[in-house]
Amino acid sequence: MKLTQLQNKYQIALLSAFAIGIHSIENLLPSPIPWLRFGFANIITLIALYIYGFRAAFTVTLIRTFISSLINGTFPGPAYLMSLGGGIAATISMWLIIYLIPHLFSAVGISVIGAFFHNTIQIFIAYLLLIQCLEPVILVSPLIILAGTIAGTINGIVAEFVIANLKNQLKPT
Amino acid sequence: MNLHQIVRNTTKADRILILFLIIFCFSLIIFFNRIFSNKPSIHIYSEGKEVYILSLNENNQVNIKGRLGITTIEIKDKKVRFISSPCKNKLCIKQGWKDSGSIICLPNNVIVSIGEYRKGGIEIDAITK
Repeated sequence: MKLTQLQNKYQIALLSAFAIGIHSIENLLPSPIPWLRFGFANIITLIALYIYGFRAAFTVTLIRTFISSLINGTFPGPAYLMSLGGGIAATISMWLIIYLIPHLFSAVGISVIGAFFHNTIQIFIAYLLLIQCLEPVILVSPLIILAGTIAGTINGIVAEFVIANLKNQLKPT
Repeated sequence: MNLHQIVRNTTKADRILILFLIIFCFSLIIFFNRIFSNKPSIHIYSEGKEVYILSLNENNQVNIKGRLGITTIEIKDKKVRFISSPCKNKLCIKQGWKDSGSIICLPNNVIVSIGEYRKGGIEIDAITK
């Protein structure tokens, strides 16, 4: 019991480190529109969700958003809140789908659902905190959700790849 | 496990979801573009009062009664110009075609302003006395 707990902590730390690294490197990449990113860190959340369950995934998301916002210097600002809200929404929605209808979607579909909720919540928080003008939000949201769907598909494929390989590795032990 | 296998492993629900989201977004984009495309409008003020709100997309010719007489403006190809004005210097006519900002004829007190609709007409930044 104690050993598995220790192992879980170790794995959460490892996954968080991966997520922070991916998130930070991704922030350095140039993008055509600010805030339009691939969200590769969501891969780590998805892997944690599939292999270690909801609590690990949620912890990883919290740690990732907190520390990478500290690294990027956006800690208490709206960018941090958007990142946090989006991350939490994505994790909870993905977990709910896995928990309620387990075999309907593969990791690709789950990733797309996560991306969708991530974007929706981010748009909502941005609307509340930054823009407060309905029209540009309505105009831009289908574009963001479309980009999110494409990014979510790619993330899902990568996550499926990693999950399959990790499960093969974890089996013998 | 390769890419081909992963794509084959996706369930029907996955594909329907992705397809649905993409089609949904595209239709929303087209829908919103159609709704908001008529947005650039022209506001015409005569002696401080808003007399016309016109769309920039429709070609049009309007006569406006000002302080001195009748000013004629023309809207064509998303641009506006003054055709005739009873004022002395004809500065408003010399401005020619405009697609943003505003054209103002002070003697005749006619203002043509191009832009999105703002509640309450022209906003004043500050007044000094």
